[in-house]
Amino acid sequence: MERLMKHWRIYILTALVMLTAVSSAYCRDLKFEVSIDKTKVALGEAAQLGLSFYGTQSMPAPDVGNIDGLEIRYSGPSTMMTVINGQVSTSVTHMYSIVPLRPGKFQLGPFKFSFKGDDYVSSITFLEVTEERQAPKAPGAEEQMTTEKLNVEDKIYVTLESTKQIAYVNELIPITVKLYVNRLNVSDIQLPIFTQESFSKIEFKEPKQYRENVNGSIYDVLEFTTNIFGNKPGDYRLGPAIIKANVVVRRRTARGRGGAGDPFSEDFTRDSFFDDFFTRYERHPVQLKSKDIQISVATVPASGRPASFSGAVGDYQFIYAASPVKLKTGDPINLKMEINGAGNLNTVLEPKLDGTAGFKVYESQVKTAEHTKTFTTVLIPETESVTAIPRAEFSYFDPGKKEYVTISQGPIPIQVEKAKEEAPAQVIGPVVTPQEDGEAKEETGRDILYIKEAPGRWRTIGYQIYKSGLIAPIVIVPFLAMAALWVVRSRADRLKHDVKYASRLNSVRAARVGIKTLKRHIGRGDEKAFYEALFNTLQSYLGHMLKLPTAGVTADIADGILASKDVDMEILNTIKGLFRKCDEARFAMTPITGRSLKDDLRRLEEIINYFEKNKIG
Amino acid sequence: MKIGIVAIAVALVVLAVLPPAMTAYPAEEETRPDENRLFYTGGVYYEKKDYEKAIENYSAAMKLGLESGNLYYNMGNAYLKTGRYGYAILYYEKAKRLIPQDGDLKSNLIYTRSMAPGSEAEAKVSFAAKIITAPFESINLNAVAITALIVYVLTVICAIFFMFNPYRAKKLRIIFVLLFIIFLWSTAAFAIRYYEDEVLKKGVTVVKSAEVRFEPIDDSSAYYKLQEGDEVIVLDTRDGWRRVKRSDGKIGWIAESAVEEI
Repeated sequence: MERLMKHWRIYILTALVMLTAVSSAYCRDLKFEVSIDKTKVALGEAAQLGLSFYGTQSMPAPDVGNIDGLEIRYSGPSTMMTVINGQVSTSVTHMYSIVPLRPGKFQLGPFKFSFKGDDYVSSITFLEVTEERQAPKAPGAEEQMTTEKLNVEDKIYVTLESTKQIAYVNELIPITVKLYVNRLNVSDIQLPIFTQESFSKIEFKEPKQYRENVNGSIYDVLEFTTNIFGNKPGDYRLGPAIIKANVVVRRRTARGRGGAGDPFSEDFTRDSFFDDFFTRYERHPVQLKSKDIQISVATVPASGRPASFSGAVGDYQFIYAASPVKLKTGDPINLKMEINGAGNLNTVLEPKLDGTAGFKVYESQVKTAEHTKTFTTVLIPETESVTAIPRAEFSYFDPGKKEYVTISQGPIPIQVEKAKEEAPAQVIGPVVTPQEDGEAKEETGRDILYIKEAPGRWRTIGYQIYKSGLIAPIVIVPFLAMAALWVVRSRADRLKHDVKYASRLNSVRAARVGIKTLKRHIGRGDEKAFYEALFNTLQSYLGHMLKLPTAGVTADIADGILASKDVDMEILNTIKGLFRKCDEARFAMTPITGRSLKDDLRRLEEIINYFEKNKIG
Repeated sequence: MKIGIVAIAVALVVLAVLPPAMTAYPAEEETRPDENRLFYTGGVYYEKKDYEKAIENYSAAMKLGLESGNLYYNMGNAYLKTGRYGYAILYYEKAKRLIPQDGDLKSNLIYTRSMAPGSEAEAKVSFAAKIITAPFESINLNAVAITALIVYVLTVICAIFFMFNPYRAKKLRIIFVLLFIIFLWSTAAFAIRYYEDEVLKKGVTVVKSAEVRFEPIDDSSAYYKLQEGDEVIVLDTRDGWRRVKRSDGKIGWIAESAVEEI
């Protein structure tokens, strides 16, 4: 206690330094970190210092000040945008080139920086400068080399981890392989490979990518995960995990600061601000090995092992469903047994049905998803006496609880009716029927087809075009048009071929025109013109009617022809009277008074009506 | 001759006006964003296997008073995924009236019928009716009506043309005869399809099982049972009951909610 009290200042100081070392500066949403590509350099070699701001790309370069024994020059910024699982993160790293002037151990940071009223304080890191220069590397080596040969073992390495060091046979063991890369250009990274025995085959999925701060240095990490399981009990070494990749290094041919023959003196920086005409890149294949790990695999306990246990290890649920449950003999029942949960599904076998008497049972179809294994089978009741689909039992060993678990499902009650004699059994679903020649006929799967991706043409519910009000006109108008045209056509034909009809039509037309003219003359009181027109009308009408030249119709001619057609004597007299009056009026030297024009017009109309009524002509 | 040209011109004008008039749906039928959004949202839920939400969205589109063959098809799929075969068949049948030519629809309907305990109503259609409607099986009732109308107008135009060109009529008489036969055929097909789709009100049993009773009374004796997916003819609907006729001719009363009209 006394000793503790004596050195309390040292403890507190150490604790503060450690806290400072591991902490990063946060301000608002920004993160400020310091990193260095080498923690140990020889005199004449350079190191790269990076001041990184995460969450922004607009931060100006901080002034790092002067450090005694080191020459620090600003190299430039490097911005980065990373998308991991859909989340976008941005950062800017201001690079500084550090050239040591004397040996020693130098503390870099904490760097203080104010921007827009906010203060930023970085973590610290150390740089050790020795007088020894590292031996120059043999240039041009193209064969696969270790990271030691490249002298980049602290910049790129692989780790192998497992959260379980003790597991049961068939129990899933999570395995994580991480590739750490610090300021190196690495390409063609291959999936990790293992040298392992007594474990299941290892298959990795797509790796996760993120950044991690390791001892003050920022590493890009590729994380590969998978699950394996032991096949037999025993103590085993798993690993090493091997990752093959290519490291791309930059080599300066003429102005390298590290001197001739030292291609890596200032390489391995991510950024290319010093790229120039004299720089060229070299690709070095490397084989990165992790340390191996110890894993013990034990057998599942023999005591308490249920009869239905078939080797499944994990934590599962058992779903049991059948459809339809009301049917006729010979009709198929789709029975679905689904095992889901966390565990090794490779070791999950189909649960056994507790007696299938009265059923015809077909081979199951197995479908395995990430956490689900589904067994679908078809049962066909052969008799109506079966009342239920039998119980099914599934057992597994739960490594978490270290005990066996048995799940029973069913029986599922069903109603089976006797099928008609002639109805053949209908078999659907995943059933394979052996053929006579011994070869199994392929039975393709059945399911519904996918939904439509576009709605197609919308319409009002119940709308039918044939209920539209437009339909009646569309039907009626063409029909009426056709009927009207037929009438017109027929009339034209008759006019062309029926002379009698044509004459009658013309005579009426002539009479109609003449009567109109006569009425006009009556209105004017023009007697002479009236009788002129009356004469012409009478002549024209009788001419058309009797099929005579109009100019040749006189009172005598008309009288002679009409008398032979049994025309009423009164009408004949009226015709003659009108002709006479017309002659008197037309040829008289002086106007004749006492005549009634209207009466003469009426007489003309009576004549025409008589002929039209009696169809004389 | 001039009259003939005028007649043909009039007929052509009528024919030109006819198709736009037929497609001149009411203004509210133009595609609006709402029903499309609901349709696509339903599809998204379907992909996520949230079939109830998918049905909810599709039903909301229907509540806007609009329908489409693809909407009914997707509803059928969603109901099938939830194990409700009756509703699946109901919506597939509704879709069939709008998009009878759709191969996916035919396939899914056959599949659903094989899964559903109920059976399709055996339509008692005469041989002659089958022959008449066969060429029009792949088009919906509206399209049959439009076909009949177009052929009718063409027949009238042809008749008018021949009326004014009797000499050509003798040579091209076969065209008029063919048009007239097609017109009669399509009109007969329309009449048969109209009877099947509109006059005969078909329904589908949408519950797992339901009893058909002698009277529309709860404690009336059960006559027979309908299974999910069974098709019937709905003769009458009143006071929460439907009078239905099974394919074997048995008529009884069933709860209204147990059978949905197609």
